This record gives sequence, structure tokens and C-alpha cells, in this order.
Amino acid sequence: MKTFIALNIPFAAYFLAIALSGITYWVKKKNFFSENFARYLYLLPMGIGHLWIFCLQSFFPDLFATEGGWSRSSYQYRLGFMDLGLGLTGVIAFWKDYNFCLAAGIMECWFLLGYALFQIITIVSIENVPYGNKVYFLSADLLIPISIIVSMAFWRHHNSQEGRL
Amino acid sequence: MILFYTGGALVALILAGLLVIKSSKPFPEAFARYLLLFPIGIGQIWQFYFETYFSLEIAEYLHVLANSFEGRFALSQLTLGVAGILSFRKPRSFCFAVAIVAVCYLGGAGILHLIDATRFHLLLLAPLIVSEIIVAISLFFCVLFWRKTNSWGG
Repeated sequence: MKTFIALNIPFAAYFLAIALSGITYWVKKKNFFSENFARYLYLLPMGIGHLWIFCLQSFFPDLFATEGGWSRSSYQYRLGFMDLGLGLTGVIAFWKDYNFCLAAGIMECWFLLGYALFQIITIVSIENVPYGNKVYFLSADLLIPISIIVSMAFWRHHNSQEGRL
Repeated sequence: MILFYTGGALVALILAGLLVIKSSKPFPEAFARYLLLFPIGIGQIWQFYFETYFSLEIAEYLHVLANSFEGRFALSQLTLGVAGILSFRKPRSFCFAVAIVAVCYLGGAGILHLIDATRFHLLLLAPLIVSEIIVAISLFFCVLFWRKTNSWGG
């Protein structure tokens, strides 16, 4: 159960981002939905999610590697620092302008879609892939970047309509 | 071959230092942009190439076991490389975002290499450690002192 919760934090953060962006838009009437959604995607799944993965990679490398179906490696610590950087960028992006969010989005999408490609190759080529590898990682690795791309496209469209670009 | 891998980062850092002398832009901005273009942009893509196509050799030279995490590690280098090249002509806030990731990543990698330095041949690893730590510290201070002038972008 603990492992399930630990590995599903980024996934849960994604749905929390949908809920909070909806609340911010309809209750507070602040900004437009795609901008709110993008900002919460940066704060929660990207920011908090990557900081969480940084903690797992750095302090619980065995847990992370086992659930992913890999063996523990010293590369995990270096990947952890990448997660730390992406996490900090995601949290800061919540308050920053469109260009900062665009850079954060490009890095996040490139990183996660590449990860997703690795997961798909692993699933296709290896028969006994652990459950964690199939569900926790792949779903988050596909859902988050696709949502970021769509929300950023609408945000840009809205900005260009208002002459802000 | 390992010298091409580790030396590439050092060459990129020297190139950035030489080009910034010729630039008429304020030093922090010009140096930050060249750091993002050369050691981070081209340098990381250079290392991605080696990590992907010579992964066994690199793992052997660095005294680590080849592992499936190495592919993911190469992916993080590619991510940073692409973002670094894109940020060369982008506004300050774009560069700021890339710089945060680069400082965390390179600073962390430099510290980890320093901790494990006794296990490596220093001649091979020194360029890598020096370039990682120098690039991380330089980029941090350049972005810190970069005033809000987007003279090359946005």
C-alpha cells in the first residue's frame, strides 16, 4: 500500500491539477481555463511530482528501481538531480510568465515523452514487466506532457488573440 | 574515446569564454547565453551521443555498471541539450528556466563525480568535473546578475 501511494503521487497530482484549475476558473474567475490548467500542471505533477521522484531516486533508490523493473544503479542519483531541477522549475513556473512556462513545458514534455518511449519499448520487448512499470509510470509519462502541450497551445492562442504575443 | 567524451565539455566551456570577449552585450547576459549554447546545448548533446552509442565503453571507463537507467540518463542530457540550444535567442525568463535545471543537474553531477573521484583516473575525469562545476557556478551567477534586458530575444 505504501509503495502504491509513493509511486502514484505524480498521477494523483495530475487529477488534483484538473480540480484546482477548474475551481480557480469558475469560482475565482481568474485567468482563462487553459492558463490555469497549465500553471497547475507545472505546480503539481511537474513541480511536486518531480521533487517527489527526486526524493525516491535519492533516498529510496531500491524501491524506485524495483517497481520500475530495473536494477539499482548509480545513474539514479544523477537522474535525481535532473528531477530536482525540473521540480524546482515547475514550482517556480506557477508564478512566472508565458516564456518561463514554455521553457519548463518543452523540457518536461521532451523528458517525459522520451521516458514513455522507453516504457513502451520495455513493455513490448520484455514479457514479465512489473505492474508498476505498466500503470504508474507510463500513464503519468503520457498524460502529463500531452496535457501540457494542449494547454500551452490554447494559452498561446488566447495570448495571440489578445495581442499579448 | 573517453577523452572526446570528457574533453568535449571543457572545449565548449573555453569556446563560450572566448566568444563572450568579442560580444558587445553586457557580460552576464552574453556569457549566460553562450554557456547555454555551448557547454549545455551542444555539450550535452555531445555527451548524449556517447552515452547512447558507446554506453558500455562509457560505463566501463567511469567504473559503473551498464544499466537501463543509462538510457534514461542519456535522455536527460538530450533534454537539457535541446533546451540549451533553444534558449540562445529566447527571452530572459526562458533562459532562467533552463538555467535552473542546468545548475541543479550539472552541480549535482559535479558533486557526485567529486565524491567518487578517487575511483577514477583523474586525467580522464578532471575535465568533466571542472566543466560541470564551473559551468554550474558561472551560470548561476550570470543569471543572478542578468538584468531585465532582452537584447537578443523577445
